[in-house]
Amino acid sequence: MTLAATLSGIETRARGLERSLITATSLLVAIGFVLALAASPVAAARTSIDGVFELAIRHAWAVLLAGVTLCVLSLVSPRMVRRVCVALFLIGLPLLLAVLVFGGEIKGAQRWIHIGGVSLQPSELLKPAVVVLSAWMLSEKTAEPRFPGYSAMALIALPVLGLLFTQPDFGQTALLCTTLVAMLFLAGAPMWWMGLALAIGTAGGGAAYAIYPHVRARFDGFLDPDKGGGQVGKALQTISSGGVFGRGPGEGTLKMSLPDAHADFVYAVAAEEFGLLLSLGLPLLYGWIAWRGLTLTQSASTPFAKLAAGGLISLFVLQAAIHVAVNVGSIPAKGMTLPLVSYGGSSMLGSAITLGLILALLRRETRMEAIHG
Amino acid sequence: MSGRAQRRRAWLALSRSQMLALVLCAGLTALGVRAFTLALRGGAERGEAAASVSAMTRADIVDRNGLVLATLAPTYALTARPAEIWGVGETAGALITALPRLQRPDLERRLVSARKQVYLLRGMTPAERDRVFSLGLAGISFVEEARRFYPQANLAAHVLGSAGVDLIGQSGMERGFDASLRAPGVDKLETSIDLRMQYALEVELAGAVARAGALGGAGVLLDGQTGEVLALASNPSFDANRPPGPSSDLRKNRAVSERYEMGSTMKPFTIAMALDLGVASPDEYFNVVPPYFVSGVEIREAHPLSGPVDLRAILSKSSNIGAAQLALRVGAARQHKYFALLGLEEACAIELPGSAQPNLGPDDQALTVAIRGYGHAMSMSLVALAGAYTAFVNAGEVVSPTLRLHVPGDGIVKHRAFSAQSANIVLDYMRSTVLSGTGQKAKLAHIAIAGKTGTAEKFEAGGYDHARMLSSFAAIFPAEAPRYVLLLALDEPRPVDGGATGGVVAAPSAARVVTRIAPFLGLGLGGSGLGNAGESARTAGGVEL
Repeated sequence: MTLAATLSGIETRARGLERSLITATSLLVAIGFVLALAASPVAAARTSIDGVFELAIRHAWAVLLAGVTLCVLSLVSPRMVRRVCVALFLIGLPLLLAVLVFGGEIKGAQRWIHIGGVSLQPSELLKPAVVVLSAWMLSEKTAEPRFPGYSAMALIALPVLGLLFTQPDFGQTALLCTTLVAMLFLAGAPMWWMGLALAIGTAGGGAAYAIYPHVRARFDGFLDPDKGGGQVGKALQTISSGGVFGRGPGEGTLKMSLPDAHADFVYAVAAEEFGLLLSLGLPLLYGWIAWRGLTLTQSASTPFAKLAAGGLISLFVLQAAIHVAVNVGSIPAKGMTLPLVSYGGSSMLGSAITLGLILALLRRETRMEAIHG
Repeated sequence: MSGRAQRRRAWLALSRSQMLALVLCAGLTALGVRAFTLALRGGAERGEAAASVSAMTRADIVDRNGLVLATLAPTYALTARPAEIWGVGETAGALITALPRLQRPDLERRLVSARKQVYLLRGMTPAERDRVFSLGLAGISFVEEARRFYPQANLAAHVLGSAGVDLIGQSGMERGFDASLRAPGVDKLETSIDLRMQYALEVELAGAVARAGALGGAGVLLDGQTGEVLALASNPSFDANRPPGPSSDLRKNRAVSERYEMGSTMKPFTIAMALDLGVASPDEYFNVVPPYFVSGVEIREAHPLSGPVDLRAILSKSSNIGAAQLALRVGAARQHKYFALLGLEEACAIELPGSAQPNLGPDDQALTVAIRGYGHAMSMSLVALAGAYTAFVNAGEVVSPTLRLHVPGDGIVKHRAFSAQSANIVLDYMRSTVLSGTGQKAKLAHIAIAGKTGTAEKFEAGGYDHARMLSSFAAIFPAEAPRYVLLLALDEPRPVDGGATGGVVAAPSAARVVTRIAPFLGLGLGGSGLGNAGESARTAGGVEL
């Protein structure tokens, strides 16, 4: 293939990208950057970071890396999507295991691994890989009903879920479980499975509450956020203090006392500084991605593309929903970032991979290609 | 698999992705609604948040005329972020120029601290803040803090007490009324104190203490009909805005938290008890010529009387022997009963922390009972004694002292200690005490004061000290329509022309206080014939004339 032909191929693929999703993505990244700028001085003062805008600069680097990743991934073929995810899975799973052995403990859980000065949270990379590989297995079953799709999916997902649970990172465990259940739903699994999943989820939560003190503390704090004065209570105050119009960019004051303002509570900071503009705008953007993305999956006629895209969209939007729900005090606190908006390199990279793959799977010519193929 | 089944499956799957989209969007919508609700209740939440951050609130304390005794004022704390300081020496120099009360070594030590933020000074006034602000120093900032401010400074410092940096009452009314002061929606607490009278009492008390070279003194002025404390003073005093350390002697409220053996100012009660019980009569004469022994111990007299005397003379000439005889007739049990009725068996219920518990002596032997008859072998707070004196204002009924403003129409809790007849007879004897007895220096031409002097030798380890005394004067005025109780006491006065007795060192000052406050009580200026009221009374009259 000549260079010209390659470029022409890239151009065709790029033209086929779903513009509305790209717009939503860009808006989310832009919002995240503005919030990082505002949260940066406070976070710098609270932690031992030097330099007032150090955090914003780091965020900018993460955005750059994420942007390149997203652009590249959005252009790959469905076949390449699978390959990329196999690679991510094969790299990510040992890393996740390594976290348990070598990782640093942050706030009661081991989630991070440090490689050459860069902190990496392998679970962020593994999540999209697990989703895509599960979609692959499920789609094989759609094509050939005798293929043990559910068992294969379990084989892929269970080690990851087990490791996440052991870390312990119940937020990610719950997110991935919910996503996989959503995928089973999309794949046409019997409805009573969903009921069973709900029951198991409840039981699992109860077990976590009984076994792990930090889960118990957070759940108890959730039940009585105002009295406990915990993280959620402060997040609620932050949101309320923003009111309808917000305090203005960078004017948030309660974020000084809000833990992880720039990561796990970035929605609260957004609501405080920009009011309803962002507190409603952010859910609207994620909602749009969910609606538009899932609608598009209907025209992707290979079962794999449909399931993989549907699963990735679920992963992406569910994570956003959990983040917002924690911030507005609707569910107990979990350390969950807001995809593409929160500060945090691993999270940003994971979100970029997820969205890049979604875009790739929902490209117009992929959809056509699928129809034609 | 048939094509139809496959289509059916496909149709199912398609509808499921729409269903999933709907579920996700519904969830996000619900969260949006929740955020919207949170934003709308923003006003209230903002208020709460603000309250928790800086605007700690506390009601003002005002006197009975609405003058502010304690309020909240904005002050500023000076803070620095050492990492952002450009030149430590330069910054310290500039700060000291603006705020001379900063200490250079300490300041420089803080400016090089490894901590992120350090406090350099608290309680800066807005003007001081502006001075520092205009220096434009890097790394220096201010934190606004509400602070308790006492505009009257030294006036009523003891009774006001203090509230700490966290605005929680620590002493005085600030602690006694802490719950009311912190109650939401309360912007001021009206107290019974009258600032004008407080001033008069404090000035005269300070003068008396200075003239007598006493350790200190105390005064209580009550509206005897309502129990309201119009003024309550302890000397030496301090600036309420800069309270001394908790262990400092200055903080001692001699009117409330100290207890003293009062001596002869207790005699009116002994006589009232005897009259009330019918164990003595106004017509009876008593042999009070020394020596007189109880249980083999001699009862001493400061000024021995000759010949038989009646009750009036026992009081007005202050006979210890007479009081002892009467006390023995009353007896231990009935003496205790009357003390209880007078509120002297327990701590005065005034709304101040540390109200002193009385000490009613070692035992109820005859000697102790006799000695109590003239105010020894028992000790109490001055405010408790002032409360007991309301019995002579209310024709035998006692009111407990209070710092709450009495609202006309509200009930007053009184209980009877003596019959009206007994109380009024004793009041008449007290008038004689001023007219012709030991309290003549309290005589005023325009206001009839009834009173009783007291000169109690202080009981120290081993016995009574003849050189160290508590000299007091209790006054009730106007005698013809009794209403106010004024109790004034000096702690260890040194003898000045004529001695260190209550009649010499306390009575004249009490009269001066009455002269000063009389116009505010509607008792007139007394422009002519000022009696023994002295310099300040004449000045007060002269100003008006």
